[in-house]
Amino acid sequence: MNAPAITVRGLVRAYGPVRAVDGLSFTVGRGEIFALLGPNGAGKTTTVEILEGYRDRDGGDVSVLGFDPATGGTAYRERIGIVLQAAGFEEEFTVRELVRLQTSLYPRRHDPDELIDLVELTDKRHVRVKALSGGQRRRLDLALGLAGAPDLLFLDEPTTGFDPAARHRAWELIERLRGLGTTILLTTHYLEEAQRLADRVAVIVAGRLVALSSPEGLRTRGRLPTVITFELPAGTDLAALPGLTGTAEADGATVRVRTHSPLVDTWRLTTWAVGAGLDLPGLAVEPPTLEDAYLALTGEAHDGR
Amino acid sequence: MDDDRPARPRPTLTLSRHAVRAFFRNPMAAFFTLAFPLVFLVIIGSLVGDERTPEGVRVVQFLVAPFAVFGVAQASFSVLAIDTAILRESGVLLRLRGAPVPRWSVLVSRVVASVVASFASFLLVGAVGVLAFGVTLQWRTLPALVVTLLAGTACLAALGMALTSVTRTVLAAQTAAQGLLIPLAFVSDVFIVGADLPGWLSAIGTALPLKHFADAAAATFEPGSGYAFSPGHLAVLALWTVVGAAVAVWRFGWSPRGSGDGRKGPPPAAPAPAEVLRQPSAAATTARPTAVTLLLGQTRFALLGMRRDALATFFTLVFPALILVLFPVVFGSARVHGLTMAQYLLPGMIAYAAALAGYVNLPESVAAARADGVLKRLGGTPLPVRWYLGGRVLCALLIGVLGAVVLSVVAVVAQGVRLDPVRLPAVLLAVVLGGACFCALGLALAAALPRLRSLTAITLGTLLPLCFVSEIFVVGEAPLPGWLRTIGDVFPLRHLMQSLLTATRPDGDGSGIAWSHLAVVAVWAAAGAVVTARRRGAFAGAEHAATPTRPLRIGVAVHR
Repeated sequence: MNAPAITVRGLVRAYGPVRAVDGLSFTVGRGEIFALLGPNGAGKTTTVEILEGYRDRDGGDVSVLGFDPATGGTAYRERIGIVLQAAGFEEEFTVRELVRLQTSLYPRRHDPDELIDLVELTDKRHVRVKALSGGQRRRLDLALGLAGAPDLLFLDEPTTGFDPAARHRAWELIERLRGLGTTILLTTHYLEEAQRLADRVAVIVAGRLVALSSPEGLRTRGRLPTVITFELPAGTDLAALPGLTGTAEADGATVRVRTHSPLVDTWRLTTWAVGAGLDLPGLAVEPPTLEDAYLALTGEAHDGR
Repeated sequence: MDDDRPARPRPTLTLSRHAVRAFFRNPMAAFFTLAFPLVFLVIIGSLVGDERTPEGVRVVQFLVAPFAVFGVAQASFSVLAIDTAILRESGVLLRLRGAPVPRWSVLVSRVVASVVASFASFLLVGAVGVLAFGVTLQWRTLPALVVTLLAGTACLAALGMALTSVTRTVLAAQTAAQGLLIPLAFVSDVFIVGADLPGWLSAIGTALPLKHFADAAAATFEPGSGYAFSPGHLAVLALWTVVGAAVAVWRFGWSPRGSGDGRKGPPPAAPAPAEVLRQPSAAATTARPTAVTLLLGQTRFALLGMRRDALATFFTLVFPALILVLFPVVFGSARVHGLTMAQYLLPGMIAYAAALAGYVNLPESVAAARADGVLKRLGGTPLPVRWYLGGRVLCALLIGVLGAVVLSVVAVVAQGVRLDPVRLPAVLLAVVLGGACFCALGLALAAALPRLRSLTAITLGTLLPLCFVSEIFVVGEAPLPGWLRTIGDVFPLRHLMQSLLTATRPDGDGSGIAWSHLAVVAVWAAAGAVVTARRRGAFAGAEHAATPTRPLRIGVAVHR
């Protein structure tokens, strides 16, 4: 059982002259939550659709749960669950009717009512879909994806349009699924979401893999500067600051110091201020975020073309 | 996990049962397949059912088969094609493709639902025919009837799926389905039985399957001996079934347009780097737009939408012109109420076009805009909703006038109808007042039913029967039975028709303005306008009726 859930080797998919996916390789371990990140049009959706069996590939090897998705057919689909980014429903049916229908299509399945409880639609179970809000629809979508108690779940932007509370509840739900041993392939635009959920993150730009590591590894790997911010004390200006390893910029009274030696620079600043009997209001030391790392990475990739 | 775990899922059975339920929950499907043929049977059966054929058989004996065939065709061809296109566009089909379900099981379940609906439609029309009109069914021909029904349903369902396969959007599927079926019904012994059609029309009917279905079904209602099997007709149906199934299997697509057929365009260009983004140029303040500018802008916008809605254009402009051309050809020199067929049909078709533009198309576009949140977005702009509605109304009136012009030109050029130029202002007055009346009624309906996304089932479902009792669709020379006549007298359509008749009849004199009829139309227009104005909150655009809805009151103070 230690074989990876997903193995992709040299995957290629072209649309006319454009190679939407251009030699992509990665593996996803069993029980792992794996996030695909990348700008719009980077090839994320094409990759996921090939893995889901919706789309053919032009080249490369793909193995998912031991199946080739292109030929796995019904036996393959019994083991996976798919939550599409934008699929509608038959509006004249109730939540429970649709969940029941979906579960009845799988040989191994969840109980419909338990699923409805799981996605917190309990009080909407007998409501027709046309009366559901956007967030409720998304949760119904999730319930339908989970109907067959899948070994591998594809989640395409699962929390787009959720309010912050609903997003946190969805994250808890996804973490509970991980606890059950479900492998999850996630695409998302929310870096916070990838950071919170994913064991590993792959960043795709223009159909190629530009980074693959844990969110923490991605964040620190880019060697981005830490930013020290504070308000200039009254009566001083930038020139009055002590010598720093990083570069200081002022925006009004707010100073930002970008530095690769945050410890040294913070020590110099605070020593200087304490020695001069000054305060540094709003002093904050902010390490680079995943978002900074992501933007640097995708920005670089664009510049390199 | 559950404990009542059956050994294997049975997707075909499960999906078929689901599809049947979906069919009967869809008000449009129920209307077109069940109510529509039934209403036709009741009205026409009441009008001419007791007349006798030269052989002495009551006419109603020959009405059940064609109308039931029409219901079957709606169920297995139009509704199947349109519903499947809707499921494809919304992504429901794509989700099913991701479930462990064979492709054929999804397609078969759709066809099973249409077969069930077709039989339901046939049983309903047949039962009403037997119980209410004394139509005789013969046990002897029952096997032939069932075989014919199965063959016809299978054929039309295969063609319906083929139609879904070759169209890419719901609108295209809808337009093609109704645009094909309804004209075809006229040349296929469905709406007009045993007509003496010109050769080319007859050839079209003979080449396509509907006429063979209708004729084979009609044969089973013929009194006489024999089992009433029609092997020739059944063979044609089988041939078309193969053609339809082949196209459906060959071309069927599961993904919504633009995402799944593998021919998606190149990925979107990378967003411009931040340095290139510029401030928008300073906002210029110009004069506040006047009411006229707003109204004309909205009208132009509404006309643009209309021009892009081929289905609405077809029903409003092409369909009446088709009848105007077809009927006089079919019925030759028959005279209606002392006039030539074309001369009599012209005012009716003008009235029909004006009523359809105001009472069907207008509320449909408003209801869709409301459900899609377009009205809500408008509510956040400085444009008062009355200019939006005003633009739509003006558009409907223009369409009505355009319809009158097109129909008049067709009648004068092709049918030798004579129009007196002196009375053209009377025609225009009737068209505009009648159009305004139906706009007001259509808006009143949209205002009174704020939760409905589509009003077509209600609007068409009331307008088409009204066309019969208002003598717009002519059925013979006999006067209407008293109660139908009374219904016709109450509602404005008959009065609009009579106003137009007065303005167009060649033996008339004076200005051609029928003041008393126009007065009735004006009263209805005022009533519609009052309801619309009182319920104008319904146009504020809240999707799920978030605005408190006041009880509907029409001109009467209600004591709380």
